[in-house]
Amino acid sequence: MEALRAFKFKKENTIIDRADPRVRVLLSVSLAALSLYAQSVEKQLLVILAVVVVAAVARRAGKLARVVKVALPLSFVIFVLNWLVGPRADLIQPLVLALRFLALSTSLSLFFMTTSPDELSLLLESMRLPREYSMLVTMSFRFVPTLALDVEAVMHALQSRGLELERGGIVKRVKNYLYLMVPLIVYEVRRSLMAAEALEARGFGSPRPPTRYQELRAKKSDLFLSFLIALFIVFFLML
Amino acid sequence: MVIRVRDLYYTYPGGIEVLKGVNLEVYRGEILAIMGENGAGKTTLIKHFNGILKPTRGQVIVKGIDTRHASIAELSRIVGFVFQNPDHQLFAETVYEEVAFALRNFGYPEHIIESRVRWALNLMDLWKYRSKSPFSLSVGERKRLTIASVLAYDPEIIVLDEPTAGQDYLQKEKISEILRLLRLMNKTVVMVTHDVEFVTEHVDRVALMAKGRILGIGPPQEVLCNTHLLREARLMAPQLVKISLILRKHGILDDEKYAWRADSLALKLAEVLRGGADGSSPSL
Repeated sequence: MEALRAFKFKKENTIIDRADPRVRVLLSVSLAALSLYAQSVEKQLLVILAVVVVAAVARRAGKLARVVKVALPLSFVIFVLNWLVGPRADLIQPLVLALRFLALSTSLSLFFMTTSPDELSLLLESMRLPREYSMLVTMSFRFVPTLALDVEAVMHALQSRGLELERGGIVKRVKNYLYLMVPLIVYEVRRSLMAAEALEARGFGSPRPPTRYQELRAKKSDLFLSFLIALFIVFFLML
Repeated sequence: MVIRVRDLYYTYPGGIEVLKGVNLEVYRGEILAIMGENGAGKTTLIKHFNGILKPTRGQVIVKGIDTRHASIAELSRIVGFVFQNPDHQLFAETVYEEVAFALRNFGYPEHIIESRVRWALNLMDLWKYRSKSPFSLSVGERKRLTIASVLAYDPEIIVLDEPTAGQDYLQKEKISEILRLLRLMNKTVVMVTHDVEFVTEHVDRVALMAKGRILGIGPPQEVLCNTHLLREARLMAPQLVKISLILRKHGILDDEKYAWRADSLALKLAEVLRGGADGSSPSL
């Protein structure tokens, strides 16, 4: 639930929010790529530090903390599994992999925290993705917070009929959570059919290309931010 | 008294304070309606009755149990909750299994489950669909199925969230029948609704809410005739009250008691109309 809530977009008045979404995608993808490239603990920590700094500038430190809270247990599992599979004496490689997972999840969630579904749609269309697909991606992100509310509603409904989700062994708990799946899938399929009908009723799919209220135009500040990102990449690669 | 709410405050994790010092008492065997504008905190309040939400401050006591120290499952045996949207709670492969779900969770033996499911489905006129998928039923039938799945385990208190929302006249009549039946069974019913006409007919008391507080509570004949309270709760008065206001505005109805007592006004109007039909001139 915490992870789903992290996708809820809220506009802030920061330099990151005002930046062109293409700069934001460049920033997130660059940080993720640097994390994939880096093979040392120090470099992974540097990527994570950069993510934290950007999140603080974007006033999203609290939200990032929630993502970390969800990603940390998985990071720990990655560490343990790699430690068990690899040579026992080597703690560095499992640690790098665990930190890489943390860096990837935080850097990519940084983009979704600072980008509204509308900006995402504009971004995808500017990348020449067909409108049907860009709408598909946008709608998926748009409905993540709604899905979180639905999960909560279904959980409450089942708990109200005596289902104790957190009771019993691990198998019983997993089985309990499976009860959530049927109403959720049925409800979301119904919702998506209704959304599709509503879109078509308002002219979606018309052969004429749609006009846009907003268009993406790079400003001087965007070029400056892109320059800073390039500078960071060069500095990182020289380390 | 079966539910006592004392100085209840509730703040959602996002920081929005929805309930601000609610005090309420619900008595055994009564039907209570909670009404008010959207966002007044009605659903948040009733979600405290079976422990789905725990108070940020204050207390909710259900049959002597402080909800802060009881699990949802524990409280659900006493308080049956029927959610507004049936699609949020239906999941089983068959209607029969849907109703049996709660009974199994509460550990009833199979022969009891069978008789309780049969009873609840017959009561809601759904026994003929027992082998069908709940998702193949109509909206009204799905709503009745959710009520059956709660009635099956015989909770003492039943909470209905917007039972008449999106229901046609026939379905509303069926819900009215269910309420009459619950009254006969001496169940305590708490419902959240916006339907003033429905409330006028079926409930013993109405609590009006706005901005996380209870503005007023009392019999519908009194509360729903109080135009100041209704305006504050952003509710429309029942038609009978509207008639009384129009009659007063035109100087036809002078006696103030008819303006504030919808039931007295209805009797008076019937009396006058009968007089008019007999040929004598109607007068109030």
